[in-house]
Amino acid sequence: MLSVRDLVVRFSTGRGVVHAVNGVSLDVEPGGTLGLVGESGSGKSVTSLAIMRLLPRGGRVVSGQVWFGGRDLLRLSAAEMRSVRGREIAMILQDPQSSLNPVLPVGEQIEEAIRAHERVSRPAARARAVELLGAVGIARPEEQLGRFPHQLSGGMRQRVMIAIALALRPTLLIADEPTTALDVTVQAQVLELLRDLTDEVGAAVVLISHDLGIMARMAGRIAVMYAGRVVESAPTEELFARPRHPYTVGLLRSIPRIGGARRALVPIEGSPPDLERLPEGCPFAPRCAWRIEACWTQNPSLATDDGPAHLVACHDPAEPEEVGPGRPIRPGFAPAPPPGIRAGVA
Amino acid sequence: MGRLIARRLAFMVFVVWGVTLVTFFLSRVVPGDPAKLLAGPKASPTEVAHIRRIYGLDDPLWTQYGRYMADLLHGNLGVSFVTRREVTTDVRAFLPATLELAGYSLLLGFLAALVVGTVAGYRRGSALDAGGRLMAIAGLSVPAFWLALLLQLLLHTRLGWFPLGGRLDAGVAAPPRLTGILTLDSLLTLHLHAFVNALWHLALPVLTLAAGVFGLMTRIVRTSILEVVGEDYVRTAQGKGLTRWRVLRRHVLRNAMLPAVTVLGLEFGLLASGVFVVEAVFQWPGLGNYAFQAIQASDYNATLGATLVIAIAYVLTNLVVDLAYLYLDPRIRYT
Repeated sequence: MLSVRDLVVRFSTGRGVVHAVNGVSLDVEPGGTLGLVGESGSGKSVTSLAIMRLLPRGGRVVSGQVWFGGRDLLRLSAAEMRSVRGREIAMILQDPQSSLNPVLPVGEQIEEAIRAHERVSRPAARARAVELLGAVGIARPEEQLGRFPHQLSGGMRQRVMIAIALALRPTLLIADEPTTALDVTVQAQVLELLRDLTDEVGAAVVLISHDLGIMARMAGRIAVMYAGRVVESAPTEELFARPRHPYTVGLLRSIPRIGGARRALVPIEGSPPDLERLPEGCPFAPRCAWRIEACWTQNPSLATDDGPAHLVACHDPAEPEEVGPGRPIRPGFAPAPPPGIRAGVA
Repeated sequence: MGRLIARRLAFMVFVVWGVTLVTFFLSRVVPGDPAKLLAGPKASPTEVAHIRRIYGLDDPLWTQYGRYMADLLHGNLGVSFVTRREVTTDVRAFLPATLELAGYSLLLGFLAALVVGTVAGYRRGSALDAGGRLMAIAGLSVPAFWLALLLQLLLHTRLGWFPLGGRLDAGVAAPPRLTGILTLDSLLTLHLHAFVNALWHLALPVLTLAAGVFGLMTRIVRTSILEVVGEDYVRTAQGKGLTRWRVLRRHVLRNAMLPAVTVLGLEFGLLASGVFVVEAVFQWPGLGNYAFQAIQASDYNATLGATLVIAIAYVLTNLVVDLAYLYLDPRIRYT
């Protein structure tokens, strides 16, 4: 239903050009949940905003397509795109504190979402808003309509955001870190609500998070992003059981597990590349223990591996027995040194 | 809300007291002897002394101040040495003209700033933005007296499009006085000819005063638009599929207005000082002109009275601004 192809997004800043998204391809099945994982700056949020065509100032889509319902969203007129937003694709942002307008009552903020797309009277829109607030688990919804965002708790605000997003039963919901700003106990409730309601509405979900625990519970499929590209994509269980990309391996080793064997958390060494000056080869190569010579010169493209559902962009993927130790276990293997250094030695 | 109003009105008593204290003593320290002016150039020293005694000007300053404050408590502002009328009568005669001038200036400056500031903020970095900012700086930095003279020179002397000064042409009958605000009175009594003529006379002085209001306000509006446009709730609103106009009106402007309204109270202070100059240049029969002449003639009571009225108006304006803020920002209303 949603098919992103080779999306490239750049930002012009005062200092230079930031290569935020560099050829992302994604597919979301109807009713499915795709998890987008990656550290800050990996291009998750920018990808989702590019799909909605709501990139902030300075950002533009350089190339690529966003197929949705048989149309390339990037080619729609502004008015056509407006009728897609909210009605077919809805969005939930990270921070419910800042994503609701502080000076308008929440009732109006729900009603306007309905009235943007349907010719209904204000009382009818109001009745729908009450119904929606009830559906997201807010007690005494009639009384809440006139309240302002600052009078509600963080969890309540995010429920209001969910009510707004699902008001028109969209076929796709983009949720960008929907629980990051919430208390841990509230997180679980909101996630559950989100899953139940999207199931009920039949909406597909693009869930953005850096929390692999949330992904394991919510996503049917996970796409791992690094430096503006998808480096690995697989069904959730498959990804956790048999990660292939060294970056994914590193991510999995860096999360704590309650009740699991006591082991030290292993950070991924080094830091992500400067998006203003991307290297020629694989952007993960400088941090990678598996790198071979080709990694310094060619950026690998996303290709099938281990069956048609598992995609990975890597010249030298990790073998299953290498996932535990977190490094290649092959006789005589050493990570290839950068080309410049090798030349110096010779 | 009632408590806020009560507190502000109580506060006003102290403001008025402070203003009387400063103005009273300042006006007497400044050289100039009203008794001499009243007696005329040929009066003998005995006559001057006599006048001084009649008006109590030979009493110690503290005694004079005590007498003035006692009168003030009874709503009596004393008699003007120049017009020989009660200062309250004079204020009632001159205040409406000033209110009319200041009101239109504030309105025009604010609306123009809202439009220009919004466009500049939305199109940041564009030619429109550069033009808007240039206009704002010009409005802020051009002195009122200079702009007034320039407008008179160009639009009156050269082109003859607007009158030089005054509130109405000599041949035009003034509408019956209801409020003293000519445009309002003429509309209420259907004197349309007087209405048009009054607007025509208002144009240049209003333009002069509005320029200053516009300059400061445009900068405030532009900055706060820039800030609000990047907010998450604006993206939420766009994500709902709202029209650009609705996003602008309900989400961007509604929030960007808050700082602008705060500054509106300060603008009034700026306006009050501009009024003196502009009324003098355009021979506008308002309170500023009245006060200007009173100061020149060492007309103590008139100076003090006019200053008091302006101070009270300032406090009241800021009260209204605070009430507007209360209405616009629910976060303050419910805490």
